[in-house]
Amino acid sequence: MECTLRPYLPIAVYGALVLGTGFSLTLASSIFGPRVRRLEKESTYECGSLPLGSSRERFSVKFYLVAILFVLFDIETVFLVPWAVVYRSMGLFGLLEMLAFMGILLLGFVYAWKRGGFDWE
Amino acid sequence: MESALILIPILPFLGFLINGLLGHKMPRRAVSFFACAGPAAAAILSLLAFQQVAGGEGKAIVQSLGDWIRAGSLHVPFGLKVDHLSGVMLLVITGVGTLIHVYSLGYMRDDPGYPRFFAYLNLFMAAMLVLVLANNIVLLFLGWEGVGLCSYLLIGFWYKDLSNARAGMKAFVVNRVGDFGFVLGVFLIFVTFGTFEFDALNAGAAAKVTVSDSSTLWWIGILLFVGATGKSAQIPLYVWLPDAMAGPTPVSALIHAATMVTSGIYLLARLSGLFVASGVLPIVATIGALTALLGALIALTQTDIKKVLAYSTVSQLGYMFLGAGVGAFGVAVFHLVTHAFFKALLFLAAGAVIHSLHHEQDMRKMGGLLRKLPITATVFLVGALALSGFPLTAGFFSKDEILHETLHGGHALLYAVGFVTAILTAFYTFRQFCMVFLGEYRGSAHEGHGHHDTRGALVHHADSSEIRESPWVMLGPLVILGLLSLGGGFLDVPGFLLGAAHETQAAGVGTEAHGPDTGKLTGWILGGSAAIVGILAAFTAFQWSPGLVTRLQGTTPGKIFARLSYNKFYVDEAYDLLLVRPFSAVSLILFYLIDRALIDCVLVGGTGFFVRLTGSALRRIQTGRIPTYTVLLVAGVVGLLTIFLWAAG
Amino acid sequence: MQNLPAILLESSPVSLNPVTSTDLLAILPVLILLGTGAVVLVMDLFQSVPAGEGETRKPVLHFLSILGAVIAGAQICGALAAPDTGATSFFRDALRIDKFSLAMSLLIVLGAAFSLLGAADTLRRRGLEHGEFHALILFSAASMILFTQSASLIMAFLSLETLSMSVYVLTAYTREEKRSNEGALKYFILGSLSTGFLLLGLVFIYGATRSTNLVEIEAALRGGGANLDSPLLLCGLALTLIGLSFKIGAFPFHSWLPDAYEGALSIVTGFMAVTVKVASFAVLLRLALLFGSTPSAGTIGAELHASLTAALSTLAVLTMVFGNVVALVQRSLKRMLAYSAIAHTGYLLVGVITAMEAKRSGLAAGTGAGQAVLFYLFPYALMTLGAFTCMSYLGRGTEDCESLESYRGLGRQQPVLALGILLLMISFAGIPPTAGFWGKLLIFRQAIDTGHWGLALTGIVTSVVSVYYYLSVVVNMYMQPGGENEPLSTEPRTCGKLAILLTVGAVAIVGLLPDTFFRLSMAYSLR
Repeated sequence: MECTLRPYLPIAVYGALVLGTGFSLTLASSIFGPRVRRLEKESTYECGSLPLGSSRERFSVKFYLVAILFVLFDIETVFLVPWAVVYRSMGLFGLLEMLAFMGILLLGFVYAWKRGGFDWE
Repeated sequence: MESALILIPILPFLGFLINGLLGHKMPRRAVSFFACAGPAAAAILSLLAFQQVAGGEGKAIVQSLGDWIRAGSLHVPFGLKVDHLSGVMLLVITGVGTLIHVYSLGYMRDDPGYPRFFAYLNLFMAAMLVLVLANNIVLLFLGWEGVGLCSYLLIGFWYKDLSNARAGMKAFVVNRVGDFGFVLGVFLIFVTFGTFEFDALNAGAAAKVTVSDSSTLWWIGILLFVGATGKSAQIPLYVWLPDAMAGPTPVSALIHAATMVTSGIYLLARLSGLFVASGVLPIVATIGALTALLGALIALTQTDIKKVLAYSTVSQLGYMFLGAGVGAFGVAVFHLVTHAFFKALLFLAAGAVIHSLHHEQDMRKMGGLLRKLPITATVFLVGALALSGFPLTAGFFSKDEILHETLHGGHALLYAVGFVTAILTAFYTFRQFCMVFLGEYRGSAHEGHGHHDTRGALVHHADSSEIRESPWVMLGPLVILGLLSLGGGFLDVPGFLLGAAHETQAAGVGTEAHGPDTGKLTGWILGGSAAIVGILAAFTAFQWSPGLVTRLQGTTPGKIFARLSYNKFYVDEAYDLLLVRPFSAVSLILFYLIDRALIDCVLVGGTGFFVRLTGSALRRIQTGRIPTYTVLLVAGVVGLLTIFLWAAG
Repeated sequence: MQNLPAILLESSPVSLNPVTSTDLLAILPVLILLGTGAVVLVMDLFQSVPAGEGETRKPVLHFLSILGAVIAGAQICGALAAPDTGATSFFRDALRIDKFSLAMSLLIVLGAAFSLLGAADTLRRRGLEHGEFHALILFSAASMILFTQSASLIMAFLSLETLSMSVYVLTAYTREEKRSNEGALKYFILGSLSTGFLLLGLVFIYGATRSTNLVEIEAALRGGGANLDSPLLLCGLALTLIGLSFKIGAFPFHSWLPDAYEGALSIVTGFMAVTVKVASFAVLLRLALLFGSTPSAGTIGAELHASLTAALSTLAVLTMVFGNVVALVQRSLKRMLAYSAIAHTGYLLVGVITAMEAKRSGLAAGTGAGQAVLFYLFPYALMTLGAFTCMSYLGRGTEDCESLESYRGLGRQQPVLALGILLLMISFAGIPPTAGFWGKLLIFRQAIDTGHWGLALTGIVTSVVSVYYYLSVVVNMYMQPGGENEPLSTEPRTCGKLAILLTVGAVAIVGLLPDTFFRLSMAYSLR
């Protein structure tokens, strides 16, 4: 049993570190940070939907649009980082591949812009 | 030439497509061009093909276009074939067909349905050519049904009139009866022989008759013959043809006299080996002779110019069946050819008369037209002579050969029937000639009583002064057909076909030993005298002593006969009483009992109730709520998983 | 290279096997479709729309997108016409291209091209001429091609998701319409659920066979049950089957279909009904033959075969009965066609079962399996496209007419359109000698040949039932009085006429010359 679990030890350590960091940062900010006690500031989200009350409430679809666009371009970063790490070993092919990927994403960006995806009003 | 055979039906078909799709947008001139170009080009190609078959070593031209249907053991090739028999047919169809197309340019000139008419006519040509060119019976059936469809469309061409539409319907229904037999025959052929190709069938039937029981063969023969009686208007299925005269006259000439109605004969000749082996020929001969007599008897008293010709066609087709029935297939085809010439001529000439008289068809309102329409009258006379079998005309030789073969084959009774019919034929033909062209014009007496003709237009009876000869576009074809009717008898069609049969050994056409013999001269003299007697009798009765007929009709037998004949022996009424009425009654009973009560209320209503019952359950699922859909989906998942794991054991 | 840590070199085998030009050439049709879609999408952004008009006119949009589809189709035709060299793998075994997948791809591109052709008038009439429509059709067609050609479970899943997303959006394309949104939302939610099952199934298969590659899975099956976890494999296959059954609309998983089909634009419905079904059946057939007919050393092969046969037979019978019976009581043509699409799924499932049986028993040794499915799909695709294209012209203004009663008198008002619908309905009903008849004949015959009498009988009986509802359209068009007041339909323009003429004509040709197409389907069947 011990033998099988051994490889997972680094993951456990990693998990502990992540949890510890997050917890300690939150703790620190709650101890040292300045406080503004107003209704808006006390709500869960400073803007957007209300966390309490009926969940069947309507709110603007624009939130989703922004969220989806964010996810899209966030993914770009998620891919860019590992690509940058192995960039040398991939050579020219890797560059072309990433350029194609970026090109498609750029196309999407142009599309979103021209269609007014970034206009709030 | 082998690769060009398919063009023969395709060219008229192109005409159909062009005129059918674009006809109403094109000028008349273009419609006319495309209408005639297709058949004319097909005629030229047919001539080339015929020359190749007839000349040289006389081998058949075959074009194989791959498989049409191949499903398991069912194998229908798409093959076209021109041999001596189909070569002759090709020439008749394309030749007479082209002439009638040209004629129609004039006849249909003022009709609003001009492009539609030619589209149908071209489609007919294409279907008829497929019928003749087919090298297997399924492909032939395609053409067979195609010509039936065109016939239906063209009979009801002036569809706005109810009676025309009815006539089309009648033709369609009666033909369905025949086709039912045909289709059953084809099924039986497939079960028995496993092939559809004519050559294999003819050869196979000869082998079969000695080996296995012949009752299957007999059934095949009789079923196919039922199909032939439908299409070729024989007893008991002839009743549609006279009604079919509701269509435009060129249609009557082309479809209901020269080509389509003869396809039954063609079928018999094509499968002559099979028919000889099947042993149904005596039935064919008897039916043919009886039809010939019946048609002639009815034609005696008809007053509609086209009806006389229609019953005459029924009668002449009977002759052809008689010929085929006594085994003289080549002679039957010979009569088919000459009949195509002179009957097309008579119809077209009658059409010219009708055209000149502004769509008057009643012979009682005609008379004395010889002076007004000399050319039409002349060609009509030529056609009438040929139909009567006047010596040295086309009809003389062919009809005489049929009678000769009948006697030669030992069928004395059938010969007698045929001989009497020959006299009657000459009589009614010249009765018609007298009524239309001789005497005084009787049309003006009714002038002013305009009535609606078959097209729904108001007809003014032509004043005798305004009767004019038809244009040359109509008369030209008439003259050509007239020459053919005069000289067509000198073509040795039977000898030509017989020679082919001997060469190819395909058990093709004609099985009897055929050669010149001394009985022939006697036959000629007898036949010729029959025609002359009939003609003289007609002139006596209708021209020289007009009171004779009235006196004859005054006697009781005369009265009875006149009524019977005029009312077509009440066959239509009998069919109505014996078949149509009971059929409608039974179908009404079935409708109320089975359909309304059982099916509608119990089965459909029950099914409907059941469906609604399950439906109400299903509807509850299908109301559109996602949670219920999800439950259904998950239930399906559980069910399918259960089946999956349970079946794996 | 040397100064990199060893672990990085190990974890990046990609560098050792880059994409080659052969790979790219193999998916050229897909690239053309995607490229055309992108160009059309961006180009439309820069096109100025005449303001204040209800109708729009963007001929370039239609032309370009149809051109793209046609070029892609020509490319596939070229590949089909090339001599058969067996299946070839590309992209490191992610794709496997053989004649079967090419034929299916051709059907998909055909569906896309005809949908684009038929859509021109509808979009113009409704003022919905946006590049998105064309791009989505092209994108989904591209992903469907990848789906049919995928040889790896991961590739299959990714392409299935891509195509599903495109189709969800297409269903909701008429944003202003409530039922369009409703149908799309149902499709989406239930689709996500079924995708979950599918993914779980694929994971199970991977777990049982230790591979995501179909070739390796086949090898594992042949090797026998020693290293195969049979319950896991069975569960995995069942869940995968459920996922695919959802896409094809087999009975208990069909619930989204009527609502989505009814909500979407008629053209989109036709597109979905054809292409999604073709792609899903291609993969279903491939998987069924792989799992149900591979001879294995152990008992696993027999178990899989028995399970698949039982499950597919149940689905087939339920689907045929349900689709036809419920179609019987529909009063809306669109809904009726939706249920009839379910019914046709049932017939096709019979084809899959018999193909499995034929391959297993060695009946299909020389000829390959699944030609009945292939043969059925071709006229089915044409008929469906034709019918929905015709339907898109039935309506007043921007309003569609869907109730059967509203077609009264159509035979007089629009004789050509009505004639087309007549032919399509007759063919749908399978009345000889139409294309639909030959397709059904082939499937039922094969069912009888392989001993599945019950399936054949159910199919024949339900086909007879179907004649009633198909012909009720004809009865309403021709034999019912009424429809005198207002012209019911809009006149098709060139594009629409072409689409209707081509589909109806092709259906007629397949009906008259079934042999040619039968031989083609034999040549392109799964080896």
